[in-house]
Amino acid sequence: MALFDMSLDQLQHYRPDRNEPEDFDAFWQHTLTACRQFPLNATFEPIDFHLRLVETFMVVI
Amino acid sequence: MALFDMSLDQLQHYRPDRNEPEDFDAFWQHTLTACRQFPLNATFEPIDFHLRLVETFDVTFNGYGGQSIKGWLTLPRQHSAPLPCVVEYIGYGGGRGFPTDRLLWSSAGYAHLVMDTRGQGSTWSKGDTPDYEPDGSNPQHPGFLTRGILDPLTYYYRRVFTDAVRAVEAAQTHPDINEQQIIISGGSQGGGIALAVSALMPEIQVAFIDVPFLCHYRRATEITDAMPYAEISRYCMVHRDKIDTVFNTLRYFDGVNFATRARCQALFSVGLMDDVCPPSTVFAAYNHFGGPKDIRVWRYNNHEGGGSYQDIEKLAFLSNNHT
Repeated sequence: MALFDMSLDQLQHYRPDRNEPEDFDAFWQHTLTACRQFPLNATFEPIDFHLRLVETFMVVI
Repeated sequence: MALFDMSLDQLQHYRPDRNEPEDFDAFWQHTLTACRQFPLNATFEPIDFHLRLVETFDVTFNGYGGQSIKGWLTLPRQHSAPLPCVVEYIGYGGGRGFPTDRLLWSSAGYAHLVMDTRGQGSTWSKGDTPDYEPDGSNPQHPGFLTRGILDPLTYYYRRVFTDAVRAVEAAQTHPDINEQQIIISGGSQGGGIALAVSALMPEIQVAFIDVPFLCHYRRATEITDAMPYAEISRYCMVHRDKIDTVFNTLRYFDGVNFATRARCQALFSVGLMDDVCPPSTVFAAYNHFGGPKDIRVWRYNNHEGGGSYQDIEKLAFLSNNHT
């Protein structure tokens, strides 16, 4: 694939108008707040992959 | 690619007659003796890649013809005794890349030397080592498989396999590496190179040979159209009068003929749906392999073989059998 998009100079200045809903932040705040009603219950179970320099854990959230 | 080669039961017993020149051992002894007339001159220049658990070194040593070959050495920063070393050979078209590409073995506590493959390293990962074609060579199909193929003395893999032996010898000169504890590892072309080294260096302890290339060439060219074996077929398609010459040369470079001379422990792997390195070509080498051996069979895999599953197998194998 050869160059097909804007020039590098154009790209460095390319800052188009954002197309953004008014409730963007509220939408995500609501989403995360709802999720945080559930306990996180993060667990880290050690699993040995024979790597001596690092420890490895199976993560469940 | 679905199953296209022999059944697993047939593969497990497939042990074709070896097509081997009488002077196979003399050829390789002469080749290595000639190379060892040049000083090895292994150097390890520390290069900082901001990795806090490991040290990284730019490796240079003299390979075939005393020519300069590059590599990377990665060492766990904290260790007491000299370390076992995994010497790794790369798949077709690849080069040594950067140390950040391959951190598995050093994370597991081993020294790790990756050898650049001369002339390659411009298809999918970066190489820094040129190949110098000797006088008397021949025009080739694009790629490396028919480079110099009309004479065993000019064939490309004579230089690569010699480099691979010298890479192990370079690792053995490093003060933090236990020269008795050498493991060689490679997939595809890297597996083919590892097979050659397993035969040419009796001091190798363990060989990891994944989905090996460079084995049982005649059958490979007859049952698959896939590259890179097809480079040989395409060459023979054009040079209709050179077929016997081509396959005579390849007898000196066949993983099946190296396998029978190996005495180290080996763990192989194979993909039963692999049309790049067909399973019968892998089992031909495996069944002739002369040391204690095992093979992981990946039934629904093409040339990717076992991928991370095989990596984990290898880590466990060393942990359980070695150090």
